[in-house]
Amino acid sequence: MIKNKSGISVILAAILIVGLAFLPTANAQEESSNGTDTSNAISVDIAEKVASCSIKEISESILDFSEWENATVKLSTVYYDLDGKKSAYSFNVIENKQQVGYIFISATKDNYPVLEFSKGKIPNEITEFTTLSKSLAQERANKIELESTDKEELTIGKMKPLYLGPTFYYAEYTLTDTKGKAKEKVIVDLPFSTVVDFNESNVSVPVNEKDYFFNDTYLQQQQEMRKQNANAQWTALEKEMANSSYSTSSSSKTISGVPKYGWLCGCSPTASGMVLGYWASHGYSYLITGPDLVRELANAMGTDWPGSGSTWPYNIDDGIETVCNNHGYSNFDASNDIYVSWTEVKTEVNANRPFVLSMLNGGTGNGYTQQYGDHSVTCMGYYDGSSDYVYIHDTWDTSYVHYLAFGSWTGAMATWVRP
Amino acid sequence: MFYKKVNKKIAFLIFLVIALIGVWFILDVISIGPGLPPSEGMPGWYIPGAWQGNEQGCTSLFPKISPYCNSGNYSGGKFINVWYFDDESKFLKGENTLYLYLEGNGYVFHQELNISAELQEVIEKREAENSWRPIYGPYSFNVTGYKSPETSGYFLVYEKSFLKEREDYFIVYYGIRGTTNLTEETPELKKLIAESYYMANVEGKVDSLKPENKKGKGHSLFSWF
Repeated sequence: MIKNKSGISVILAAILIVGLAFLPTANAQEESSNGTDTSNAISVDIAEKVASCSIKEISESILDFSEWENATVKLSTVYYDLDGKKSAYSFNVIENKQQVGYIFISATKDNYPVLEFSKGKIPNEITEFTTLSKSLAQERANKIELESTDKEELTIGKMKPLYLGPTFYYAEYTLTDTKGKAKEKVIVDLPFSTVVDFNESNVSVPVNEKDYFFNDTYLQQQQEMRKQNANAQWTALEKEMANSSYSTSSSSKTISGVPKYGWLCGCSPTASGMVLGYWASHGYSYLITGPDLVRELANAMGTDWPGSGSTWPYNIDDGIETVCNNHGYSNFDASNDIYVSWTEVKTEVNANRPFVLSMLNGGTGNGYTQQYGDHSVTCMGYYDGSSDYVYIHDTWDTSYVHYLAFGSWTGAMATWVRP
Repeated sequence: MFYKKVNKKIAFLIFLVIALIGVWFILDVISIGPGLPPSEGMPGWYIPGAWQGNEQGCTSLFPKISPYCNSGNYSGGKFINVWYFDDESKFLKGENTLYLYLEGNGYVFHQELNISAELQEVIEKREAENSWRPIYGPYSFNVTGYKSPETSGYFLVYEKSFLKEREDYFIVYYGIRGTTNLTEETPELKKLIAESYYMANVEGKVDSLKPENKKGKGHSLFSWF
């Protein structure tokens, strides 16, 4: 019986998560004939201004992007969502007449102004991707033609670029018959060159038993919070732009001395290890560091190791405190917070206290093409600008700090560690 | 009036109990981790600099044995090509296909490589940078050498790099493009191997390629000779 109920809950959670990920916000908003949401739409001019100012902020705050200081932006592509509404604008970042990167700006106030930025080329501008996507659409057209009784030839329409979130780039082709009637829409995942079907229930959103943690109410609250935050950011931006004061009014902070550990035993003990590793070199020298510390944490927080490498979130804070106690520090207070706010993040970082950030369906950090998924990382800095980012040591890369848009997850829990 | 008050209290208590059970339930049924990239991102694990932009598509010098394949380029024509497999049967099939291709297109040999000195250098460099990566595998292991007009280098197989119960298999090629004297280039390639080396599972394996018909005859070097 309990199992049956669990199954139903999993299905409900799955439906909700898939719904949240792929359905447009259920607001009865006005729409113009061209599919633009008129009440919340961002014009290309505003987006360009935001992109232009953002790349300057980024160049001043992130060392890797210092070359963007005098760069300019040029509109590349207008993207749509599955319902045909504009979802984003991509701009090429131009330095010395050369394309050096790109930035995506939201086309609606329901999402954060800056969606992503990176060096390299926009997927829609990579010929290999676009050619392959068209071939896949052609294959699909041929298949339909073969399977149909009248063997009617189908024509492939112009590619419509879709953007459904960071790194989710698709190309949509409409197949029309000889009378010009639309027969089918083919959607191709650009980076992975595969045809996807969003009508199928088993879309590639990781949904499993773990998703129980974030119940319906929690997910709705997070979604609503994200929308409100995004709206607030756009409102602030618009005010600044109206007063002509929109410039580089950003702030950032990095806690120095936080070690970078590579994944061992599981992400939660590794991320916690980096936090305690920091304190070991900041006045708490009886704490051990490195692999011995991570293993001790894995044992203390009951990480399923050498099994699956997963950790129950409610054990993370207890495990950290246990390890601190083991080494003579009973004054450490570790606590889990499943409603982590941006203000709390800034306060903690400003106080030079790194913390563990555990995410469900975590977004994509800079430099990656894959999402973090269900992952714990060490947060050791922030960037507060037209968009907010957390700086993290992510257990994958031991050479560089990565950054991740605040809120780019379905749910998150912070484990504050305070001596 | 009295009963109304009692009813309200009972309702509140029921709500409280349900809320407490709810919180307990929520925190009891999810776990975080292992926190490793999906299969598509796995090749980057063995490509130094992959996540700073030094990651390209799979090299065309070898057959396509896995959909999860990427490469990284380094100075002096050196490069790393990584094939990732999340399933043992796919790995064995891919390994065999690759081996047959190598035998048909170049000279294949086996030797032992000792990268102790190179790893020590890497460890010291990381310590200076306040970073650390698990390298629990052997510092000396068997490799498959390969020489051909297009490229020469070494193949290494990393098995179960993260967890004892998790299927992760990597075939990694550390090579140099073009005709080259492999013996002369080996010191540089050993440095590259040390930089890329990763083994978080003490029971994981680092070994050479083994064709299908040579398996199950022990793990020692040249065991099938």
